[in-house]
Amino acid sequence: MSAELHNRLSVFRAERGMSRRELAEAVGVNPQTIGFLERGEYGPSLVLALRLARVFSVPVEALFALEPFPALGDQLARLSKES
Amino acid sequence: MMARPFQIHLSVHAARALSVFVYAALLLGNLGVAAGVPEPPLAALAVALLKLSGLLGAVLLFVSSYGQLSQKAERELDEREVAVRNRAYVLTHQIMVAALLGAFLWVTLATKLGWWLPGASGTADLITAFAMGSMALPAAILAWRDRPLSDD
Repeated sequence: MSAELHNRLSVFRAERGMSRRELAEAVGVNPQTIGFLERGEYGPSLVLALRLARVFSVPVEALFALEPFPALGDQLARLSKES
Repeated sequence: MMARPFQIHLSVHAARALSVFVYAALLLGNLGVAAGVPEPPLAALAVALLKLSGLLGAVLLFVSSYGQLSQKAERELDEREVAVRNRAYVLTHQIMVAALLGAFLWVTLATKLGWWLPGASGTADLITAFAMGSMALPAAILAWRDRPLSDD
């Protein structure tokens, strides 16, 4: 499952300035599990995915996807061209 | 206040190194003792020490944090830990069954072809090694599947 699931947890976590420990406490898992999630070595249950989305106030699809997320730099470059 | 269960915290690398030592020592020590390593006496002593250290190492692995993880109630684990532990137990079961089938095969062939078979005390040693190795195996598997904790 984790081989098919892409995530950008680390991006959102870095934006918020949260450590893995803080995020883990917020969603009720051990800090190591956050590491496994971010590396794509573990796919979360629906409940855990929803909890993570709630922490960052984003839809689940913003955190997890079946296709690779576009690189942040490319997205920003496209947005700045459009504006 | 609830008493904490006794446990020895081992780092990932320490637990992995210990698991390699335990299974090498259990295998070599108990096979050596069962086969009756005779001369020189120093070799017999070395084999016996290897066997003993393998047994003690297995106990250490069992009471370590990884061993305790394999024994914890599900409510104390997060979903990933439950999944990893379940996979460790499945793999332990598969390895134990394979070892038992291998032993059965050896005994069957050895009886017919006149290969080496342990005596009564050697059999007891091998069974003890199997039991101790099985006891510690879930902890060993958990250690090899874990990652060092790094916080950023």
